[in-house]
Amino acid sequence: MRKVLYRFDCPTPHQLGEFHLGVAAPPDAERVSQHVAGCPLCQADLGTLRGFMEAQAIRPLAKAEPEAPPSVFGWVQEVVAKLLPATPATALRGSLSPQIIAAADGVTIILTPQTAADGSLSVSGQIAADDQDRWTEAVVQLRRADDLLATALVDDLGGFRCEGLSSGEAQLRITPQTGPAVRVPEIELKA
Amino acid sequence: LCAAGRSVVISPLTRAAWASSTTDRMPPDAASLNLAQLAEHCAAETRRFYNNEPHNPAFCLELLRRGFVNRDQIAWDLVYAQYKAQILRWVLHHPHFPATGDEAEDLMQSVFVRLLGVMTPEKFAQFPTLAALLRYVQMTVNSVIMDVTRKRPARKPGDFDDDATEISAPGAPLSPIEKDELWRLIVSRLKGDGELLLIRASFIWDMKPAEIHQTWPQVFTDVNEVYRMKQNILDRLSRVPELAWFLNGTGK
Repeated sequence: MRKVLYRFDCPTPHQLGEFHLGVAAPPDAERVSQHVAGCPLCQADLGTLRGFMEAQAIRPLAKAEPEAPPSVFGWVQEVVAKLLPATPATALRGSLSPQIIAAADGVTIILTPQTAADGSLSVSGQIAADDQDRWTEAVVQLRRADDLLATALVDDLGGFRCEGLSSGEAQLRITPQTGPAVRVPEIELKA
Repeated sequence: LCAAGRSVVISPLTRAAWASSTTDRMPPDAASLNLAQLAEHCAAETRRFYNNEPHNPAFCLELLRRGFVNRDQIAWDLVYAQYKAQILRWVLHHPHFPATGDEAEDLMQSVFVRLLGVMTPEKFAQFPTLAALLRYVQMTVNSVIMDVTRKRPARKPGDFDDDATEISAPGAPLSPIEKDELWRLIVSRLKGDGELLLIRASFIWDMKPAEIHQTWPQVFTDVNEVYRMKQNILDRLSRVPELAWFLNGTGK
């Protein structure tokens, strides 16, 4: 019965969103308001929406630190991306390799390691940025200690691919033609 | 961009909306710019915004207007190119994205599809600034993701150990109208606000008996009362002929 009735009378997430933004038509707004007052799930959904809207509001990028710590890539200005927790979603898919997702202010990098037929590793990458154009033809470098493992160029859709890699820790740096580079300091490469 | 010189039609409604509610002042020449010029200005002004420099959002707003309101396919392609990275970023950073099990790119596409469906000229006119419009886009990211997570089974199979009274509904999915009718029928057989609350919490909000007791201790003094009351209700409902098909799977 709960499978059939679960949230059957709740407003859709989009109706809730329009209500939250104050752009719902007056009759809808009144109905949603009355519903939300008595529905803990919709109240929770609105809380999620508020948190998401606030945390991910579009803002100007933070300035790169002029005295960024040195890296194996040298002293060029860069921002350091932080690794996000691995997504359970990728684990659920089973057949897919776990993705590595790293984010800096305004830039998100997704790496998907895969094992090639010859046993070596390849990494497919995607960079999504607020200023996406800046990253077209950016230079991708994968390093291990002082060794340069692979290089690639970011295409106009933000994609890149590095091949012939081996398992182990690595650093990724993506250097656009203008503005600060982004670095992911600790990546565990494994298929 | 080779079709950038195509003429642009601004409907009277939209023109009126501009005049009455636009606070991002449209430069005199923005409406006359071709799409390539608009897209170029939009990208440049967006970069200026991210670099915390003075910027003019009117070019992006006009580009979005031509995509959403005029349904100009090339304008729409340019809108897609300009905003896909931001939407993908929102998807990836949504707290419930991991629970969807979907690819971020697929969800991003769904956001664009939904925006095309909901953004009527009247709706577009409700957004006086680019910032307000992009907040609506961000909200749409949330709604697409929440739709996916809401559709998943409320509980996994085998997750009813504490709830021996669970009854599975048979047959094809019910339409919204049928669900309304079913709910009205159930409510008509309930006695008092406590039973209504219990059934709503159990079946619409998918709360476990312990949660129900903890949430409304003034209504349900202990978890056993929740179990007892729920069993009584289900026994009563099972004696309603119109509900037999549903509760026992004996046909509609």
